[in-house]
Amino acid sequence: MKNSVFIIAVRGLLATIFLSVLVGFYIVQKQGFMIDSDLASLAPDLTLSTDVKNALNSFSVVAQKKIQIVVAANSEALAEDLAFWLEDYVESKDLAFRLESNDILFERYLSALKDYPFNFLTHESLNEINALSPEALINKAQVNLFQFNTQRIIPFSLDPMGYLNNYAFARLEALAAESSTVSMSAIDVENDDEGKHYSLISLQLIVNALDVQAQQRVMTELNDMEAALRNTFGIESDPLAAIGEQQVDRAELYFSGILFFAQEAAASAKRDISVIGIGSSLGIVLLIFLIFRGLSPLVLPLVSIALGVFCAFVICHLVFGRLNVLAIVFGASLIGVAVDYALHYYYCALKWVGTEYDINRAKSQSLSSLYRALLLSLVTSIIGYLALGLSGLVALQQIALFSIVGLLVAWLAVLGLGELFVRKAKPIFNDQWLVAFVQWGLRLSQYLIKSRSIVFFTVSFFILGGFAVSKVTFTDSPRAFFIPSEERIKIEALAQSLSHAVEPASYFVVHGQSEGEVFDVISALRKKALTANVHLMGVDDFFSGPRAQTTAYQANLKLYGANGAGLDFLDNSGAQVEQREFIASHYISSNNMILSAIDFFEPNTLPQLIFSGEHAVYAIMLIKRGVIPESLKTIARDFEQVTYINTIDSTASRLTHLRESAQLFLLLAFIFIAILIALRYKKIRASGIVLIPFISVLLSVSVLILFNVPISLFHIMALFLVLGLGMDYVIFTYEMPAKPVSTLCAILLSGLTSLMSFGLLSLSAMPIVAAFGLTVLLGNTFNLLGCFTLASRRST
Amino acid sequence: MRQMIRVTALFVTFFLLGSLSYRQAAQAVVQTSSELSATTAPPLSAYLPSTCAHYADFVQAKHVPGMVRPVEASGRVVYTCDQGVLWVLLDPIADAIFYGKKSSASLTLGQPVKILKSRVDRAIGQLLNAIMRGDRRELEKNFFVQSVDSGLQLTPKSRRLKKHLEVVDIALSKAAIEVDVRFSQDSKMQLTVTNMQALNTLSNKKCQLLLPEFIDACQLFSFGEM
Repeated sequence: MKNSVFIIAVRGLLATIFLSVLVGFYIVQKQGFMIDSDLASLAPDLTLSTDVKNALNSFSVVAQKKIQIVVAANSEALAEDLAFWLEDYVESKDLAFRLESNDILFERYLSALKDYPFNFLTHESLNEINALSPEALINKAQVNLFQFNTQRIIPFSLDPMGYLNNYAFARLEALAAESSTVSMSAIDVENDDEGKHYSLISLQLIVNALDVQAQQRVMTELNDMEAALRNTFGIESDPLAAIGEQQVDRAELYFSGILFFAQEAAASAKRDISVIGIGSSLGIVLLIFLIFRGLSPLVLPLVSIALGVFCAFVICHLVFGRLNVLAIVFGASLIGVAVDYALHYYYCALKWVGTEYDINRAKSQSLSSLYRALLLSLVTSIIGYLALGLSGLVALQQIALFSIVGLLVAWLAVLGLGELFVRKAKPIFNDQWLVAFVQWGLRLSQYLIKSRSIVFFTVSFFILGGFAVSKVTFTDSPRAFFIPSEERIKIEALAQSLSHAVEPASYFVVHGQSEGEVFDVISALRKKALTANVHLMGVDDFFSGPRAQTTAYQANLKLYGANGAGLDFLDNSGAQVEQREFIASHYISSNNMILSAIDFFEPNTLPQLIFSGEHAVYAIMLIKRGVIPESLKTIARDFEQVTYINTIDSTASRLTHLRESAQLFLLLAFIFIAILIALRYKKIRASGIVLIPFISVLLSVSVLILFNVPISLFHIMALFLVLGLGMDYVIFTYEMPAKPVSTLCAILLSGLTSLMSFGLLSLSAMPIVAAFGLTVLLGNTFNLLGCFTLASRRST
Repeated sequence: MRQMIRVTALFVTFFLLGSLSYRQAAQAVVQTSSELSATTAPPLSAYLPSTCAHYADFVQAKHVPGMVRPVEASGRVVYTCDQGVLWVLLDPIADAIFYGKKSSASLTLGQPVKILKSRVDRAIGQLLNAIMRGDRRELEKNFFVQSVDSGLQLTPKSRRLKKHLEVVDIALSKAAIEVDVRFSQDSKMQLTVTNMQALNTLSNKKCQLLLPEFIDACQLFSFGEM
């Protein structure tokens, strides 16, 4: 009766969840599926103020949107022609990217300067105005007016002497030369020693670089563009091969940008998903076919896994608004864990309840034991996955939620629907080999238990030997998240050598109580940095600070004050009469007006080089490439108001902290589960079964250390799974001592499926996935061995 | 900056047209408008110089918003393949700019020589030299070249260039070449090139003979060796 009520409750819960998920699926479908390959979500949040984090994010957004095409050709003319053709192609098509345009920035910049025409002078102009006589200044202005190479980006009517025009030109030119972030440069062809000629085109994505679908669109469009280019010009690949045969046009296109790293990661994840998905599915099908001599027992595992993965996908997408590819990779490995419930149910229910299924016998003690064991097994797995959720890393939280929902729904499906499938099943067991193996294993275990010294010696050897022989090394670098291909690294290095890029992860953050104070600190910081040959880029490359603006205004008194040289020049140069009056009154009305760079760099329009925070004004100074981080730390040390931030180092130290916390959490999880077991069985001695996964964890770590594998957060996180899976097995073994062989057969069967999934995971090209897979593979192998030991002890 | 460079290149573009030889100009002018198809442009090479050293006189008139009259200046341009382009304003000011193969410099009468290092000047120098040596590829890369009743009309190819420049009209006559440049923002420039002469070689002495009012300008040619 109790079991019937329980099953009805389970079915009700399953139906409720399923219907809710269907509604959720409709919502997700409306919003659009979003699968991202952002590995940054594996990195912990930096311990920075929200203001600074937002500002740094604005730089990441700019970087993510940027892609570059490097054209390598066997002649300078071809490199240039192809670059122009590509620009025209991009301009004329409706693509997922466009030419990087700084038109808006350019217009806004000039507009800002025009509002304060007397506040900005270059150092040379300031010295010139102070040093020269009014007559000499007028002569210079005249030359400027007539010279044929004089370009006006600030109109004569606002700036008759041309000094503001010079300022704008100088600033824009310096920015074009020094920064690719705000580059306004033309196509320059550069040549290398091997005879290749390069041109570089910067593009701006209008889609999300980390969205897998968007990546596919961009790749298709780039490939189409390259095909059209080759078709138009009739060029062949491999520009180096052209040396000595100049009549053949040869060129190669290389694409650079974060999108291509993300796309490589996504492709790697895709490979993993298909390998793990197909591999574990095939393995499971083969195993079931071997054991049950038919595929009908596959229906329950398949239904439970399909329901589990579907619900996990929808709920995860609803909660996070997107799904990381890593969650799906680990989701694929969930097959190996979720199938355990169906196998245990199928195997045990049929073996214990009998081939002629009798609903009355379902109330038997055996079936109740099975339900209890399954419940306890689910709870311990959930505890393991919950620990992943505590990691503080978004990607791991997604994996945790995905796995918990997947396992819970699969578990509910097995219990709720299992009876329907088992009733119709005609079980023909072909598990003689499995039984023989289990019996052999039990005999071996019994022998080993009798000679306890052997067990003690072996375990001690592994644990102590592992720690003693090798030095434990840890790795917490976020660079280990993903190792790009050698070709990708070469392309990025080439693109960086052609553009004047800044360090992507290093910044100086300057703070002060006012904009003026920040500019003063920046000025001192620049001087100090220059002595160490460190070149910076920041807000002062665009605008002078308040103090310099006041100085410039005062210097302009000589030009536009009463009887100023500029006014005399207007009188004598043929300017309209009202020009003099306009400039003179404009100068007077501009007194005490200071341009605020904070307003210029307002959020959501430009990378925030300067911004007003809750308690202070902040400026971010970018650092040109090729600087040794140590020298940067030294520079920052001299200033109270300057902080050096290296996001990679900061992430690494946060990962170290997380790893150390995870080790502690793992220990706590063991203690918590031990208490849970003691309470469940009302015997403190029962909690000793926790020792099996505990020893498995120690042995796994020992093996990793023996083979000089640096331990990362992801190895530790995998140990939580070793704990969860290990507890699954020992609970079944402990719960059913009367039938050790059939229990162990079920455990071995489900263990083999898990080993298959995680074994395949360990082959992944992504280091974090491989770390996870390898650790679980080792740990679960030891778990299975431990179960044999426990079963033999219980049976004796 | 890219736009600025291209706009600057435009300024330069019509100066190249001042380097047309009289013979070439005459050939172009004798073609009647009926002979010129609106869709079939005459070969651009017909307008480009074929000699390796030449000089011409010019008058430039800048229409600057805020000025009552156009800002007019006159001068002489001298070119050799080996050294580069010397652009000399003689009236109302004496000012010279030299664009060599590797480096550029400017000289205003009575002041020291100033080396030009900016990207804009570098771009102008490269383009001007290419044009003066008759490199039509540079022109066709940036403009659609079309024959019209009055001569040639150049319209920018790229959208970005169009933002700054509307059209360049070139009219040829026996006495002069007239170039009108209309910019997008209400300003324009007119250039009249006359007295185009080919040279066999250009020595320092010859240069000083060509620029007697500003012989110091010839010293800028030495920057072509830098």
